[in-house]
Amino acid sequence: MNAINDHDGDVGDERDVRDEGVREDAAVEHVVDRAASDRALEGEAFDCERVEEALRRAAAVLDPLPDALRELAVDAYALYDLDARIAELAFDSLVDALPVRGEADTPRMLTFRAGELTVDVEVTDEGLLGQLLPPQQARIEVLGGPQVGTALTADAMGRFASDAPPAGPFALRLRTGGAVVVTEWLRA
Amino acid sequence: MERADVGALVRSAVDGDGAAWKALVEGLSPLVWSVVRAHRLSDADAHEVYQTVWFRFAQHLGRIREPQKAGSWLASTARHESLKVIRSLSRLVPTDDPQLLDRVSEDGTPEQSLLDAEEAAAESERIRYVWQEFEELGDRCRQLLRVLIASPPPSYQEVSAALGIAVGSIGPLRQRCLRRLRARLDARGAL
Repeated sequence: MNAINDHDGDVGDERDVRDEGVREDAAVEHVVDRAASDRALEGEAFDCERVEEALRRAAAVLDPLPDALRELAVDAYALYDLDARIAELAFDSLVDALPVRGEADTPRMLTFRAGELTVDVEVTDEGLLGQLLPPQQARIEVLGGPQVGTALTADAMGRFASDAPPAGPFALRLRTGGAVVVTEWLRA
Repeated sequence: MERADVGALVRSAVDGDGAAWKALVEGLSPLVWSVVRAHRLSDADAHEVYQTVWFRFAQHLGRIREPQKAGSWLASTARHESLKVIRSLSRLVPTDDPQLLDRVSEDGTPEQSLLDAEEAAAESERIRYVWQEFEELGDRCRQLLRVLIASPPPSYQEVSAALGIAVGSIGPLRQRCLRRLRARLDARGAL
């Protein structure tokens, strides 16, 4: 009894020898139970791994990342530009505005900010309208990816417009004075 | 992807190492793809969100505060952009992606299976069953498993960022979803 107790690291108490005996039996049973359930769990974990592996293979065949998209991400490195400041998205009507009742096709209103400079943009099916604040002239490029974008100019009032609505991801690269500012990439 | 690797690769890419950038894309683009697919975006939307995420990552590259967490950054950006698309469609996510289901069933003619080697046919059949049963799972399980089966497999941190669920609940949920899928496959005798 003591040997068993020692083995288990339990501190036996002489007064409770009989109780201890009962408890030991229960403990042994418990250990057996646990071993069985451990095996069951291991088996289950194994089965789950197998299912997950099968599913991973299925995804690789039936829903793989298209090669062209992988290449696009590789090419996106060209957009890494430490010298450009980022104008961060400060307002997006898609997220921040309440839907307008009865208006099915409201324009997407976006506001970007880089320090003092604010860029307001409105995207509709007809194109793109923008306003720089404070008002100032700027050369603007509408980017759709790492390639060269469409050139626009903001007039002295800071207004700019394009009759080609951006399709898919877009950003504006603005050159004002000596500074280059790029708006955060967004899906139009 | 190992987080230590990710951190080192991001730092190298920041320093102008194009090969490091390429390695980041190799390691993490399947995760980004799995997140947009988990949100059941159409092919066109999925492609655009995927590109937006990578363009923005390149744009922010020099300013990523915790380079070793770039995977989580990408996953959570993919999640937010996916949710925006869903919102812009101003309807609930469809429960089926018809294109995907078509793709699953289109080349399953018996004639073709006969032409294929028997083993290859059995394997492709099995893959179809597995995918069909997966598609039938509830949204929670389908989303979680779609991200978990990205290859290379994402970390729980990345999965958490991808789906907005607590890291601690991923393990138990994963077991549960896999058990459920296994039960479906067993019932079909497909595993």
